[in-house]
Amino acid sequence: MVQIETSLVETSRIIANIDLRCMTVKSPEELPPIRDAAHFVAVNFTGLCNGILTLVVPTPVAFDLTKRVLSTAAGVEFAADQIDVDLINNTLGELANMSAGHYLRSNGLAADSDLFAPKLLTAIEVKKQISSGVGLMICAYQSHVFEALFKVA
Amino acid sequence: MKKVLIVDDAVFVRIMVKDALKDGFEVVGESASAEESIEMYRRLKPDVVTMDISLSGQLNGIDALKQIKADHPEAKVIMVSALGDQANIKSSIELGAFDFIVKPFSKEQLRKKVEMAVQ
Repeated sequence: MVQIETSLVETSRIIANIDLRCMTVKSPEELPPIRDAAHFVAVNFTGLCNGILTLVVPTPVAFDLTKRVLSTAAGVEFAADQIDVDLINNTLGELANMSAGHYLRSNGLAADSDLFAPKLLTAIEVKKQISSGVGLMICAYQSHVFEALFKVA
Repeated sequence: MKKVLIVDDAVFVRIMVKDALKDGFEVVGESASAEESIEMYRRLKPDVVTMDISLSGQLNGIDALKQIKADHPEAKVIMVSALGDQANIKSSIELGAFDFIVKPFSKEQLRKKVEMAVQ
């Protein structure tokens, strides 16, 4: 098991000073239920660090998080009608992407790794990826706390 | 004032890049796709391009770099990626990228690279 707390926290501070704390590392069997999640953002790695990063975020939280990231970056408040699903997915995907990149670089894993674009996965696809036996990294946003789960394959 | 084209599919990254370059540079265009950025380069002739690798659309940033350099060998393109893996850096440099910067980046880091590109 490898922890990813540092990269998530550091990236969130860089981008938006989001109140984000990471909790304990768990096994895939202990993952939170994903049936109620609105968004699945996944990043696939190959090389030394095989894995999937999935951001499981309820819609209201995803909206709020995106609004805060954009507002912090722009220095202005974004209106509700400026934020749609594509924008939310893209923003959270990039956040996950940057967190993963930061983690891999910080741990000397970047050189032999390859990062693909974040993509949306359905719950079935996520379960399929998990059951395929590759490494797994899950971040679940619940009540202002991120739970980070990461396993090297 | 030197002209910059920003290519990134993430709105907040484009905002961050634009903010980092607000003094002394003119952002003449923004794009979220490789295909559009190739067309915008032809039309706008920027002095520098900041190019993300993962983009919306069929092509990625390395495809766009390849096409832009083929059409405009003098083009200065700085690649921007969330992960500085050796394969992407090697491909980018071989295709003529001016430099490579890894996200998350600081505004100072980005600005320094862009200033070097336009010197």
